[in-house]
This record gives sequence, C-alpha cells and structure tokens, in this order.
Amino acid sequence: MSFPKSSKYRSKVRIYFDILEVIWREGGKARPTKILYGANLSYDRLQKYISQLKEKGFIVEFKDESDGIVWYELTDKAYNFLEEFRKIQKFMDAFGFSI
Amino acid sequence: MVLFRLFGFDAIMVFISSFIAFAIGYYAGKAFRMTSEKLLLYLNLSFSILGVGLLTDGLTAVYAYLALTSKPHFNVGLILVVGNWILSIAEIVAFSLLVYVYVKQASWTVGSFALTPLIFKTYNPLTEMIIIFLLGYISLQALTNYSSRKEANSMLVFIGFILILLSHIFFFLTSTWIGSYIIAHFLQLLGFLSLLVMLLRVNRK
Repeated sequence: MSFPKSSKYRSKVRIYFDILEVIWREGGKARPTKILYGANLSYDRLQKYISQLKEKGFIVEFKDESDGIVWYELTDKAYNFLEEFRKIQKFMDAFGFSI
Repeated sequence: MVLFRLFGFDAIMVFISSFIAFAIGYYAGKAFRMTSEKLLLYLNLSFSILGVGLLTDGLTAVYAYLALTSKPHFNVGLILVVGNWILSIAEIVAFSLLVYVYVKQASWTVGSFALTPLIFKTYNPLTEMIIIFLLGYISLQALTNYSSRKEANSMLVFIGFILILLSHIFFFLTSTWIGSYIIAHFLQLLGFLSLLVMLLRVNRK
C-alpha cells in the first residue's frame, strides 16, 4: 500500500488521481476501505470525492451479492485520465515541478 | 554574400525553435485545461510568449532576406532591431515567468551592428545580460531537480536550458566575434530540440 509522498496541500485533481490510482493498483476495482487508506483521506472527504468521481463518470459503484460489500470500479474514462495524468506528471517532474 | 545567406540560416533555426516552444506551450496548456494547475498555465504562457518572440524574430529575418534580395541597398536595420527587441522582451517575460514558477516552488528544495550593419541583428547587451541571468537561475533549478531525481527527462530539461543559456552567451559575444552568431543559433536549436525530446518521451505510450 502506498501513501501520497508528501503531506502538503493536494489539489482536487491530484486527489482524484490518488483515488483512481489506488483502484487501478487493486486491479481496477476496490473497496472503500482500501481507497480510504491508499489515498490517505478521511471518511467524509472520501465520500465527497467518490460521489464527484461517480458523477463525472470515472467510477461505477456495485455491490457484491455474496457479502453485500460496496466496490468501486474504474471506467474507460478513468483509465484515459490516469494515462494522461501520468504523462503530465512526467512533464512536470522534468521541470522539477510537482502537481 | 556568405553572410547575406545567414538570413535564411537564421530564419530556419529560429522557426524550428519557435515550433518547439509552441509545442511545449501547447502541451502545458492542454495539461492545464485538464488539471487546472496554475503552474501549467505559467509554463503555457512562458513557452507561448517565447514562441511568439522567436516567430517574430524569424519573420523579420525572412522579411530582411526578401527585402535585400529584391532591393540590395534596402536598409533593413530598423526591421531587424524591432524584431530583435520583440524577441528580447518576449524572452525576458518568458524566462521571468519560469523563474517566478521556480521561486514559487522553492519550498521543495550594440556592438554587432557596427560590425556588419546590414547582416546581423543587434543584441542589446543589457537585455542579453538580463536573459543570461534569468536563464542561469532556471538552469541552476533544473540542475538541482536533475540531481535529486536522476532521470532522463529532468536531464533533458537541464541540457535544454543550459544550451539556451550558452546560446545567449554566444549571442552576447556576436559583437566581438562573428562566428559566435552561428554557434549561438546551433546551441539554441539544440537546446529546444532537447526540450522537444523530453516532450516526446513524456507523451510516448
């Protein structure tokens, strides 16, 4: 499990990326607790961002019929976003800037 | 006559550098629209302004070439001076923006005209000194970044800025040695090519 490298201010888009990346690392779908720890967010903030990511079409929610646990799965839009964001991150890193 | 042909050489070198500056500016703008990250907006503005300055410089060189071809005694001095001033101002603004971004992120860590009045552009010593100072600071920041990251893209950015810095030192020396004008253009082009390689590497799958 990995946490964001620094404790400094994270922009909204950075938090979106951190959440989506946690889900991606889990194989494209993850449970809320995994995301909570992986993206280093409080429960309230996670709920807020999860609902925004659902609205934007980056993730879909589904329930496991066997145990009733909620999962979040990445959409194609999220995969594209992750790819583009990683490129931007490399671009910023090359100049020595962080995003 | 050999010197006369330098206008074509000058324009080609500057147009390629301008294209690369616009490409980097465009990518930073695209990234800004996606992330709303202000640093990317500054990068977009910086490289776009640099691109406009270089493009203007190239266009004045082409105009001067065409004017001298059709009217051999046509005085292109004023056009070249204006073009060069626009480039100098654009470079000062562009590199000042970059310095501003680096400072903001700091928490993580005349003579040439006398030599060849019709052939060479003037390089104002004061503006060149300002640009050299700004580029020196930017190169130092890029070196610091490369030292900590030790990755190829950071190295390409450092090489890009150090070559552009060297090109301005050679532009500065144009008044004392004509050959430095050609070297300066090659160094500037290599500097922008280094930045282009970084951009292509970043965007590859």
